[in-house]
Amino acid sequence: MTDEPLIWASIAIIVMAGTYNFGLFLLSRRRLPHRSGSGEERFYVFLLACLNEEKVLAESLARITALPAGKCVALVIDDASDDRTADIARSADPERVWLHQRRLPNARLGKGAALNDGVRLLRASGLLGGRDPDDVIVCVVDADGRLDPHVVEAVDPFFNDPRTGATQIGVRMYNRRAGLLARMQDMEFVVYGDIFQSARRFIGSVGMGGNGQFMRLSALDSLGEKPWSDSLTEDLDLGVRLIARGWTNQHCTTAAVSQQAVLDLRRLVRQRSRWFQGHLQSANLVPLILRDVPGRAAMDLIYHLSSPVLILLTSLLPLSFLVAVLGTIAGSLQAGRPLVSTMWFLGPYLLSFTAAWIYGFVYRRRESSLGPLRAVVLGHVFVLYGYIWFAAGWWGLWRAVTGKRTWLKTARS
Amino acid sequence: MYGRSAVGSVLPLVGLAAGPEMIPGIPVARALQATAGAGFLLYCLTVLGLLVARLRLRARPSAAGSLASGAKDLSAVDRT
Repeated sequence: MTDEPLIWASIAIIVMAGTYNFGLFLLSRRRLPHRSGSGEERFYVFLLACLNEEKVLAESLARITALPAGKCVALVIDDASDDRTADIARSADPERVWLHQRRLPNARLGKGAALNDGVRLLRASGLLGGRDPDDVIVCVVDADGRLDPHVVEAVDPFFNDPRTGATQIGVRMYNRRAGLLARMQDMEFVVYGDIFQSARRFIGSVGMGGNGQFMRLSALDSLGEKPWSDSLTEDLDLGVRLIARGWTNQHCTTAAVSQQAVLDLRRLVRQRSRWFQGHLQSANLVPLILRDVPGRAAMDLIYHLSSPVLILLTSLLPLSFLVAVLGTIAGSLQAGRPLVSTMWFLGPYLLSFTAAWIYGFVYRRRESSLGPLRAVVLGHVFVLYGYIWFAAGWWGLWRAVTGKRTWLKTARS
Repeated sequence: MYGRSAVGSVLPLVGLAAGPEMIPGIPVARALQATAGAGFLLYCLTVLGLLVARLRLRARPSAAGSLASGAKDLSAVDRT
């Protein structure tokens, strides 16, 4: 058959992805040396870029103001909200919560622009009281982000290493018991953090997320006046540019920020389409990676940034399987006997669901209340949940091809 | 990407107990799978091209200098 090599090439995608994922799982099991505090007094500024966040902001600020006084403040950047966002910030302790209001038409230009404005204010205003930028840690938190009470103690030792530019903490869903979709998102972030991010600590390619990213102010300074780009995934972009600048990104597994899971499937796919489109935009980072990032980290980042291509390609495989299954059912009915053997099910099961056992294992370590059986079942559901990326991918590609770049933010519920 | 997609559901032809020609839809299934394979070969070629580009970029003296040190470049640091 003339298409035989192409069929084998399609199988090679699965083998490559499976080998990579399993390799990172093994790597993620390695332990990092214990880091202890050095007694250095660092100052933490929590940046919250807010556009109409009245539903969730108060709880988030309450968590931040409960952190150690004297070394932690919140800077709320109100991006011209129509609701009570600014009032909520004003009603908090003024010593611990600063408010910066942006006005139209110089507002609502994206999260990156709002964060850049916040950092500009920090540098220019004297709010930092002349502190050394090496000892100022800026943390980006979503307005719905609920930080663990011990987050500063967990993150601080990573910055004892002067090469550490940023540290990403874990992300959880605080409403993960609100249904299967929320549970899957929680599992998604746990798997991403505990396998992929943890493994990348040993490769040098840890990525930054939009919530719970801690950055040394001097590292942000090294990226120029506007550290955040206007990309749809400005967090990913920033993490890569930090690595290219020679900083080390770390991932902290012992603290997390909890955010609100999206409970509506259509909104979830839309959110992921935005991320997907942002990944496509990040292709412009490739020259920077090729030029300035060391070998292993460069290879991993290229693989990571090219994942949209692989997602689009692999989306054809379940479709192929579905067509074959439907055809076989029709053929079997026509022939009056089954035209398949048990191998029909075994091969696809092994290829699709072997990872489910690993995902279940990893997730149960975080959710010890889950029984082993339930964890395994959730692992299998999680594999199917991954198919959301196929829909999101084609939607994001369509938007990119048709030149659509504006997105409404995902609404809080 | 956060979601490592479920990349299985491949090999639709494995386990068939009848010739593929007897089963409707199999040519379409093969075509989809072959398209994914062709895309992957193109992907591999692109990665190869990127590796060559990397070798060329790093061979330039200006890039080599900054890479050899491995230290962070703080030339743009604004310490105001």
